[in-house]
Amino acid sequence: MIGYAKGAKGGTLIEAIVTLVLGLFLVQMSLGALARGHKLHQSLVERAEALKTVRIVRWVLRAELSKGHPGEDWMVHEPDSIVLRAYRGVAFPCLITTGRLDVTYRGGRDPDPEKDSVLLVYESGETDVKALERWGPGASCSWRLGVSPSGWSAQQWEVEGVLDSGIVAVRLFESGSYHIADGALRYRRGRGGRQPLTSNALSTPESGIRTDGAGLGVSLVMKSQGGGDWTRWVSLARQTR
Amino acid sequence: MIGVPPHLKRVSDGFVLPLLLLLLLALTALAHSALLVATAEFRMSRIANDLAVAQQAAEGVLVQLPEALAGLPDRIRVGESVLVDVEPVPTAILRAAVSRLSRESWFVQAEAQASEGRRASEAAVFWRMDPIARLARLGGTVTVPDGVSRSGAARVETDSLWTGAECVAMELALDSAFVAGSLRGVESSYVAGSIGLGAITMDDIHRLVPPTLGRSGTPAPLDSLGNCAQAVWNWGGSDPAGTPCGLVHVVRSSTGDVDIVGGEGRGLIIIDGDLTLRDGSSIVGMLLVTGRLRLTNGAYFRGMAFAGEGIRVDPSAHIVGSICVAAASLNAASGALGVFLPLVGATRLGQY
Repeated sequence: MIGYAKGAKGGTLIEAIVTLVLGLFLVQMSLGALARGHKLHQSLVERAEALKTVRIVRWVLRAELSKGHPGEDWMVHEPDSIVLRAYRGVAFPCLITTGRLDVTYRGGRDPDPEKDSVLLVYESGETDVKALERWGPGASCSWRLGVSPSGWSAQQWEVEGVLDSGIVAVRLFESGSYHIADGALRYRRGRGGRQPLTSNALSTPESGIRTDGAGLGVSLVMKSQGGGDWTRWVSLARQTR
Repeated sequence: MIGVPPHLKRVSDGFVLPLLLLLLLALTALAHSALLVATAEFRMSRIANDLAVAQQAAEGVLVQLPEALAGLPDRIRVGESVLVDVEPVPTAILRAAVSRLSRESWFVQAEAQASEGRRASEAAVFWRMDPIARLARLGGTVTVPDGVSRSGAARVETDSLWTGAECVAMELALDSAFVAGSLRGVESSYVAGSIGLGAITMDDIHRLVPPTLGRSGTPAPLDSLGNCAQAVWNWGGSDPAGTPCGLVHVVRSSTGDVDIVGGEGRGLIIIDGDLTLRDGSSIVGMLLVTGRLRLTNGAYFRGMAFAGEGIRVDPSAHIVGSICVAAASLNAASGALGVFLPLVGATRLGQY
């Protein structure tokens, strides 16, 4: 009776030790898997963040620069900045009088004389820049142009100086600059502060605006490499003149 | 039947199982959130790709469309818009609209909808030469910039309005463009563009009308089997007559100075340099000269001219201004020069 009981006790101990060892091994494996999963998740989030940053930089800068001509509408000021006329709308004049334009206008926002200027485009292809002094709703310009005619509004603009009758189009713009600084793509309107447009994901000054034989582009180096090489070249314009 | 002691029984009951379950739950949550991130990223990539496809398709329309607009100018009045049929592409549905802003400027907007439904648009202003608008900008028989020499201006006369046979087709348009009356002689005027043809540049002209004229030559009508022959110096006849070349207006250009020695012809002559008409040469139409225009030794010109660096008409030579023949020459040149060119300053207006 005693012997049987002793044998039974010994067997249980071995079983318990094996169970504990296996249990610890399993816990270690599970924690390792958990840590690896967490790391993977983290790198996926960083990768997504990096992709988003690349996408924003590409869309914003390409959209802004494609509306103008290098040297006239925008130029690379420093390796980390581009100064430009940021076009915000276009208007076509129906009636031109001294200093006043009756136009049909379409844009991303309403004109703002505090910050906006106008680029007058003449029939000869010449252009002229003037300050927008006042604007208000107009009545005489009922043109509805393009594929979706509903987006146009009749307005009356007052512009500095005397206006020529050969004006074909008027482009509304604000002076601004884009910067890749302090870890993000930033936009600065006039002399205001530099507002971030992306998260703080960029490594600066490694990231910046570069010009080479192929044209103008942005070299983007991410702060966190996310388990891979996260340096990207975003082409912005083929010719920089 | 000896039972397992209670402290070992708890072990064999197993704390490992709940622990494993908890770990599996944590791993599942982690995997699920990673999947959400990946799915969101995939969706964003598809949207971005779709937008890029739509944007490129819209931009492509602006490049391709101008060639398809050749027949439009006569059908659309200033202020009118039309939707234009666009050849579809596999990746997007395309629409385009053309609006006439003035006689020479056109607003073109293209919109593309990609297969996933995302839309993008692009717009531009194009310029196309209009004969009437061009003539209205040139105020004199000979237009010169301010400050250049104008020797022999007294020998530049003007025709009475609309007397030429060529005017019949354009009489109404000319009436509306020239309300101020007949042409002046030599007129100083600031004409935007180097040769008074508006937004079209000399490079554009040489691309559209290859510069075939050499240093000098004698133009003469040349019939070939009852038709007016194609030859560099066949500029038709100077007077409308019942010959195959009688009413032909040619377009010719050069990249340097040209001497026209005798002969006759009619048309639009564009010279990137000096032009000299001599030895009884008789030319009708329009002369656009970036350098000096000189008529000597019995030369005669009828029509309108622009001379970028001045004019000299010797006592034996003569110029008679005529809007009619100038209009006819420009009208005939509309086929070659009447292409839609993107207007500098408004080539890409973006989407709003």
